[in-house]
Amino acid sequence: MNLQAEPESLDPGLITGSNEMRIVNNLFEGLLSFHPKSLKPIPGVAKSWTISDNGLHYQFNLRPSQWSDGSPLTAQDFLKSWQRVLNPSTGASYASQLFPILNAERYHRGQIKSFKMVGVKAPKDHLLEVTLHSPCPYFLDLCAFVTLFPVPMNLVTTHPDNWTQVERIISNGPFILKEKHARQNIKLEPNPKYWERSLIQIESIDVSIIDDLDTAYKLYTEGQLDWLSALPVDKVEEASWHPHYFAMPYMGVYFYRFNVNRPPFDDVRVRKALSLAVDRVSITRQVLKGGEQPAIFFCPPVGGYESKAGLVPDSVKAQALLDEAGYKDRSSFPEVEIYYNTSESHKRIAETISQQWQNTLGIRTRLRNTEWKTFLSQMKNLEFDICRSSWIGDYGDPNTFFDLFQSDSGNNRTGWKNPKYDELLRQSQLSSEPTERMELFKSMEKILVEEEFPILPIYIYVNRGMLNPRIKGWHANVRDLHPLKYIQIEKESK
Amino acid sequence: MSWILFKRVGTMVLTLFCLCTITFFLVRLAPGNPFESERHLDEVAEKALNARYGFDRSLPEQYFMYMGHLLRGDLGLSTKFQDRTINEIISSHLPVSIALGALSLFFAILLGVGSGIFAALYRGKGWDLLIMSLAVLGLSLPTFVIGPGLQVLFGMKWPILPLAGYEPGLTHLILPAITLALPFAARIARLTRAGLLDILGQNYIKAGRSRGFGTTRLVFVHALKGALLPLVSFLGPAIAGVATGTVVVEKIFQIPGLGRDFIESALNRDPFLVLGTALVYGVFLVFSNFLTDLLTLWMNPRLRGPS
Repeated sequence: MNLQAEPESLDPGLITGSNEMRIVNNLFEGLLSFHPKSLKPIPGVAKSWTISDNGLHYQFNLRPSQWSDGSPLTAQDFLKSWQRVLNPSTGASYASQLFPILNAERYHRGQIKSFKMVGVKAPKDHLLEVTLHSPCPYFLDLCAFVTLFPVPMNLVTTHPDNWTQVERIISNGPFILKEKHARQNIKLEPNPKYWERSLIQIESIDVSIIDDLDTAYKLYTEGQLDWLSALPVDKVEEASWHPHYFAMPYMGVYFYRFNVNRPPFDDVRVRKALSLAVDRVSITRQVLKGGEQPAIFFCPPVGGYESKAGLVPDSVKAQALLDEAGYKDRSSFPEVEIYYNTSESHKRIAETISQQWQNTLGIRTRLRNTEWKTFLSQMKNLEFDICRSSWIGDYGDPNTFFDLFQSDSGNNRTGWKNPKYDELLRQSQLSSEPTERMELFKSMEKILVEEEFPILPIYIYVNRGMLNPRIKGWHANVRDLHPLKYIQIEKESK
Repeated sequence: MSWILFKRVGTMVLTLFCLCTITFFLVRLAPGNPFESERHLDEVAEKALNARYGFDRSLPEQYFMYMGHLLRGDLGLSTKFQDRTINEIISSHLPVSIALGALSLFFAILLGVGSGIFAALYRGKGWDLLIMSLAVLGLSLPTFVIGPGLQVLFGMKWPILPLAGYEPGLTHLILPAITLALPFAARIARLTRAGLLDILGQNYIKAGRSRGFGTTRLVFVHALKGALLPLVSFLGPAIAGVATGTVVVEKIFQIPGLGRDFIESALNRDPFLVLGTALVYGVFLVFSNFLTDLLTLWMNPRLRGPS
């Protein structure tokens, strides 16, 4: 298989990227893990669990299990690992994944000093008790997420900067790290101490780190890779005829942010008009051509939520709205700017949208691009009119998308604040009743894409690649999550 | 002579010092933050990360800290690859870069000088025309065309060499080295041809010829040394070009060299990796210029002046 970039780290508590997770998910295991097909949380280190009626207290019964060096893995390991992630001096970017736990956020912010007040206890070696501050319907999902994996604390304390190096690392998951050569390859082998070792049939997994997609594609066609996890844009059409090709909607959305603090986007009618004037279908069919799903809604299908929100593009309505907003004379409409990070595909999308606005509404736009880090810093500081954005969900619940636009969320980045939206979000986070939550999500999405338009959704990502049919136990899914312990290689029969 | 050497070494150290200082402030003052990502980084984590790398101190303080560590040979930690030090990154990637650079320089000189001599000897004939047209082609084709072309030819159609990837040894470096070498070989061929033609027209060669010396002896014993002078002064920039121009080739062939770090560290705002790679390239360029000068002095006595 291939990875598209060198993993920045293999430390479960610190990583945030999908590349890193692809390896770490197989080296370590949390209380729970994911079913390879349904992605439902299933037993991992915890063999069973109970949840109190009010949804606040969780008891995890841990199976007797070991680290790859043979030392026992206990509830204390989880407690200490979670404490490390929350510790303000660790610098864990994903500490917020633990915030559903009682007092976790306050400990992280240094508002309480004693970890004893945080809702995690390990009364016995194989019992972990967790108390949440409010019900969190996706907490089990989080228990299978990398940030909540246990880490070998003895090793972490003695080698804080480089305990994950190949000659040092110990792990508790289905595989161990056998080799790692920077920008070359990673080799995984089954962990002999893993509790479900008998399940693993594969002898080893070679991961090539190849960030040039053209080269990766060539290697696949030459039979040097069994699973290619991405395709070069200009080869998608060719590859889609190949029997090994797969494509699947992905839990990510591509959208534009409006800076609602800047005129003319402080007027909702302008934002709505611009949104109504974008023909997403022609973007996905003629520009992207990779099976992406055009989106007038914001949240991809996740955790049982299927979005039906959004307004169908309508050029007449769009023109009327712009007239109404005081721009009957189009020349009085200021020339606004679409800002994106330098990339050929972002550029083509921006050009198409700019052209559509020119044709439908008769307004002019400028395009501006900068490299990634400058782009991020300007987006954060709201130094833009309209800015290209995307969001990939972290866990299998719509909350991972909707909490973005909470008024004081650091991820909001539009200047848009809406008390009604915040209240709906708060209710959805307090509720544990699935139907009620889905209704709340619907109402939130309606605000985003039918009433207020702080954003302009464009398309839902697709994950596509090639898979050799001799690989069994691999299932395409919306989170692009593939536990390697289920993989089997069919012997070629001739 | 020793005074000249001493002065040159002094200038070299000063150059490197300026390089470090300017790079340090440029990279720390560039917009964007090494820890920034599409996801909001919470203030607590940002503070911890800044403290880890010393970014919570004032800029002059950071500078003196860095210089202090540098003098002790410690190049710092990478902000992007959190479990690696810059020393580790450079020591694992630099040897690959050197091997790739040396091999491609070898190909460039072998191919360039050989075909240059050939073209000069057959001046105006079919061979000359062919070689010089190929040289124009070699100069004008970018590496991102040559590289994938060679991959298809020798990795897929006639699979005699690895398509991409790296393992210690030379086989994985041949295609990338040729890709890198071709534009330089083309330049060298033109320089050699022009230099040789110039020398072959001079009186001492004509005199040699009239005394009955054969072409081989004339070219290899008498003419070539003088003809290669322009080439030697081209070698300094060529080495620089080969060393810093490896980015595209490294990407196409997935070679874990330092060229990628050099470019990507700047894009990632990974300050100590930027500094480390800039320093390595700086040392390298300053030394190769120095050696080129020495070589020119040795080959051209006229430059040495009165002793």
